[in-house]
Amino acid sequence: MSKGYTKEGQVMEIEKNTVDKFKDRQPFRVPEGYFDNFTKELMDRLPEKSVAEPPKISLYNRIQPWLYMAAVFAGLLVLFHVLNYTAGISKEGGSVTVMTSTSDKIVNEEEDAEFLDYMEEMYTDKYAISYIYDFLDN
Amino acid sequence: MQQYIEEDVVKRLRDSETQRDAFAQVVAAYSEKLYWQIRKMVLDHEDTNDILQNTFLKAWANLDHFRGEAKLSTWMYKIAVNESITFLNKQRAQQHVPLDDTDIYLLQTLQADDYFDGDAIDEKFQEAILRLPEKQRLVFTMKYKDELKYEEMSEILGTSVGALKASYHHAVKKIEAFLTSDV
Repeated sequence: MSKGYTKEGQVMEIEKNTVDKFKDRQPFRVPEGYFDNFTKELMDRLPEKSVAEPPKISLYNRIQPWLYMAAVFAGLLVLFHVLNYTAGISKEGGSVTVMTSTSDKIVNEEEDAEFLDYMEEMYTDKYAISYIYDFLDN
Repeated sequence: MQQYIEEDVVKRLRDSETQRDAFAQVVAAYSEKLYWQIRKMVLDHEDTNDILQNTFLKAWANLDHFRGEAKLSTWMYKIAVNESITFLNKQRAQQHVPLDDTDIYLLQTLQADDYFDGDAIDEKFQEAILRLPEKQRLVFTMKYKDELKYEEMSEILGTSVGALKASYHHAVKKIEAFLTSDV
């Protein structure tokens, strides 16, 4: 046996296997007639049919698909405007880079026309033609 | 009173004509057992009453989900245990209880309960149980006084019989150590 103390300081002899000793004790009680009345009281509260409650859907969950759709459309709209804006800059001839490669030529239309005129002159100008031949010979 | 035969009751629960009557039999058969299981966890009578009612209301609302694969008692106990744990979690959150996985804060509830007639030693015993981690406390309260067999507890809690036996054994040791210590 060992000794234990209550909070009031009383010495109690507490045996090992104490848990078993408590099996016969019942410190909890219920109001009189509680179990006799419980079934009736519960059945009075029971809804008419056994229907599972529908899952509660929050407002956010209900509008969520629409929000996603709106976000997709907004994204497409922005993309469209960005692409449009970029293409517009290349047409209006702001700061333009003229690329010499044949596959990715970005050529300003005015400068293009000038260049074609120049080339035409070159080919019809005899001096220019002889210059070209001299160049080729060398 | 009609004799309670589970097979017959389950059959009548599936028929909408006899369902309500059969459910009344279920309530009468299980209310006291479930009450004490809940009470051992939450301690206060009024709280226990609320949880017990919710347990049966939930069972009634979800009768269609009872497939009959497990015993009706197992199913009812599962609902009762879940409702008790949900209640304790909510109470802990509301009272800002430190997260140490014990329910020692319930000692105050016990001391204030009009339907607790225990003396100092009974209070000390309850305190020892409250100092167990929640899952272990659940195992102890379910097994103590041979309320439930390990096999049924295993189905209710989803834990192996071996683990439950070990948990119960350790719970008993901890309680005895607390009771024999100078506190």
